[in-house]
Amino acid sequence: MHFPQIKSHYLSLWILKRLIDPDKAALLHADFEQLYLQIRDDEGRCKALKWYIVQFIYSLIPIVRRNMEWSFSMIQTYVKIAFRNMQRQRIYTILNIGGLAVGLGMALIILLWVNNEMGFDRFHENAENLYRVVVSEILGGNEEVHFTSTAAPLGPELHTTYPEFLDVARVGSISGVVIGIGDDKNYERRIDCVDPAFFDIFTYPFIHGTPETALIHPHSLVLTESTAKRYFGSSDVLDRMVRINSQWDYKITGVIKDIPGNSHFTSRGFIPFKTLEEFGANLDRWDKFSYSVYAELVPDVDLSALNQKIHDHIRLHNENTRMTLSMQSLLDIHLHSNNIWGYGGRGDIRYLIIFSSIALFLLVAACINFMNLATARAARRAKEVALRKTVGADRSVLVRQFFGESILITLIALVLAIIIAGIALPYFNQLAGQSLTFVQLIQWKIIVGIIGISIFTGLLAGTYPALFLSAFQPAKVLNGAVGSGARHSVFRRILVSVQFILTIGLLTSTFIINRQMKFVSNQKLGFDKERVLVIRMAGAMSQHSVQIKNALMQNPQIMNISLCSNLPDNLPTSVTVNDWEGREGDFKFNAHTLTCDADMDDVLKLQMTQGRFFSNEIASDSSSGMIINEATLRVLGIEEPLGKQIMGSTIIGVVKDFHYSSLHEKIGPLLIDCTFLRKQYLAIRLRPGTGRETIESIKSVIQDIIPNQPVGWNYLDDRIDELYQADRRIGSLINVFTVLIIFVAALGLLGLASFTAESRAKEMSIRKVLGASSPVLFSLLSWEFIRWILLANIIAWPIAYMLMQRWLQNFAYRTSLDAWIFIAASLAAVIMALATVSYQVIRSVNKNPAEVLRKE
Amino acid sequence: MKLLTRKDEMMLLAILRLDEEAALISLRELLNAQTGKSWSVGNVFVSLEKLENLTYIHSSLGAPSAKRGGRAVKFYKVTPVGLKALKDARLMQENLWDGLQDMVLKA
Repeated sequence: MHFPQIKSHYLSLWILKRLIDPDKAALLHADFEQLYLQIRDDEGRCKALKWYIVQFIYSLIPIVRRNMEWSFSMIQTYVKIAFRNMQRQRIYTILNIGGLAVGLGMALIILLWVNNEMGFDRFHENAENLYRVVVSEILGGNEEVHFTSTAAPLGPELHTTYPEFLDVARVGSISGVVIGIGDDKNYERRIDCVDPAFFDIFTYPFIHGTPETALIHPHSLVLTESTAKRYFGSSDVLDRMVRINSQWDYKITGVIKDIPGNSHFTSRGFIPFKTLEEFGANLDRWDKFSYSVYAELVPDVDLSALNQKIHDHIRLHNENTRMTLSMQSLLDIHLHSNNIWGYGGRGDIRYLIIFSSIALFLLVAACINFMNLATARAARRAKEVALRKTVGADRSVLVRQFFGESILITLIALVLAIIIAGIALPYFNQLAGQSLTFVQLIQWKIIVGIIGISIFTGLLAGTYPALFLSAFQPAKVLNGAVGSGARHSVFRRILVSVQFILTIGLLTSTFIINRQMKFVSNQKLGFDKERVLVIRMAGAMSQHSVQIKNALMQNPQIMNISLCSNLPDNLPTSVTVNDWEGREGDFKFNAHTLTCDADMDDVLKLQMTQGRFFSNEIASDSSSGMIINEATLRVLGIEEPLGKQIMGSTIIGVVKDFHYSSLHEKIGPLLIDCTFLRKQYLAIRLRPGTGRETIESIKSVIQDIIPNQPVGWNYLDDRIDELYQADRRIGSLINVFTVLIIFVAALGLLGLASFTAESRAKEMSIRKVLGASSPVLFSLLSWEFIRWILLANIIAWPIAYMLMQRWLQNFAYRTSLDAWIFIAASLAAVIMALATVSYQVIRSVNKNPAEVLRKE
Repeated sequence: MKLLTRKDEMMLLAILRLDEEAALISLRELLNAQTGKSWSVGNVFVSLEKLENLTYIHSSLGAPSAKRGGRAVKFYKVTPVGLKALKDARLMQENLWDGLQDMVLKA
């Protein structure tokens, strides 16, 4: 007789064999078969089959339940034994869990950070179809610059010319805006002027008003929720009026939810693009570049084809242009824009990669240490393993047990890690300039990530010990010959050396970064940055600038005041110089420009090498006077510059080169003029020993002239400091990681030291008995570790050298990479290593040989 | 000594009752008939496994039969330990019942 020709026959047998002992499964299956055949003979095949399926499923329930009860009770004993072991070897346990917790905690924070950085601008509904226009221009030589400023007519023209552009919005910004509500005046650093389509492209949720109608009326204003609350105390402010720069009345037509922190766009207020005309902009010109263009493209657009199409678009309007166009995805803006001038792009994918890999390495190092410690104390567990095997545990059971133990330890470490991450997060935020919150942990992506990391850690840390420990042969172990695994010791040593490569590399980097930062703050800039107060002229202040200056000069605490377009922390404007006396051929170059009045040399204490600075007495200075720096003089290639014509002005002086931007950039050509346009800042040199009360009196003088005028101020040296914020952040992050990696590497070394001390105890005792002195033994044992660390140096040096060389290349002015830095880092590592191992080594050297050798 | 559960007790008694014929299928039939419930094959199997683990019963294989696809039948027998456990359970029950029969059975 034959069983029905259906697969369930094999399937049910297969399932049973997974659940119970295969022999028993076959017998049980035979019972099923017999019952099936009975029913088939009595009631027919169809009924029998139905009975079979139902019966089989019902039967599985008690079997599975019993299996679970069994494995549960096994797990209970495993957990119990794991805890007992942990208690018996407290120090090891603390080292293990501590190392893992630090590694995991750091990994958690980095995971949060990476998730935040990768999620930038992703909250828009069409985020993957959104792009912005990037302009590239080849300057003199082969230098290529990228920026997002475009001419005003470009956006709409792209929209009408190319069908790929579904929607286009231009964004311009006005900086230094005063927003008046009644008599109350508020300073806003920036508000943005956007086309009405802006809110179609970007899906910022509206609390009040609608995106379609918000910016139709020319004098309408959209605020973010918190800004509205700040101004009015409530977000329900539709149709309220505000006065911008004491001149124009705007009606609030919309309130949007605050723009999330992970947006490259950080505006607080929006007004229609068209109104830029009121602020003096000419929106028909093709030669003025100040507006960003954002676009929604058709889904699945062929980007490279489109980039080719628009590449030469500007040439249609200006044949001589060297500017070309391309599109950049919105999702790339945050991380891939470090060479593009424009909004956003504060992130840098390279740092993300560097820190993720350091965090990953830290975690791997912690796992390595776990492996090392677990196998090093294997001798203590050997008897347990042997006994379990003798009474019938097979290897898979033991493997499972040891995996269970490492996963248990990982879980405990994870709980600790979450606590560590919670405590460390504010500090990390401060260091990295982030605003991550712990609540961000609670989202499925992160939780999956955490669970993934923990399982990965548990498996990584547990595999080797599990396989190693479960392989003990009971006969040998119980006879007393414990395989302490000498053949594995090279492997262990290499693992620890790898940790030291990283330690030394990071230590070197820390030294070099700190040295460069010191260099930056000690470098002579060519002007005096101390005690210069900078006030941004907002709203009506620029109309009254001369009046304000004269009034302030009455204050005895003020030495000098200059009105200027910018300060030497950042000169954003530049001009192409293509006209000067003595020009050869059609040579041209780019020069930064600065506009200031005749007192700037006193405020900044600039030094002249030739000629003179501007003078208030000489009227022609303000119309046609020009001062150049030494770098310009070199480029111009003329002798006797004084009195020569350049760009329609006369050179009246040459100023000694000074750093007008960060030390990342070389001092290039600079033109200083004295025209009365673009006065954006008041630079005030204060007398030594002046403080808050002077600033207050300056404020009140300004507010006497313009009532309720908000006054924003800061110091020039702080502004200059800010230029190195990113570098300083990297520096402090590397500092922290260095400390952590030293901690973890020290743990690893400690594990290795205790292992070595244990496995060479007999050898040491015999040497001692034969007359070796303690110092000899000490150096013998220490050399064991030191030589590996020296080896690590040889690998770490070139890596650190190359990386730091690249980092320093960000700076045009930098310190040298001296050999002593590397040697110092290595020395520090060696001393640290010696300090770590010395306890174990001394203990093993001082052991009474009689006790160690007694067992023989 | 661990107390027998009601299910274990029924199972042991069924095995004793069927004597030489005590195999999974016949036991299940008996239990179905006596309790009026349908016992699943798995349920009976798990109970028998448990009793075997407790050494209350032991099993032996009969001759393979074509009816079962060439597989043998597993027959069960109660061991002295099992008998002792049954006896203990019975004694305990009788002690508990002592003097209460009239009251409960009349109700």
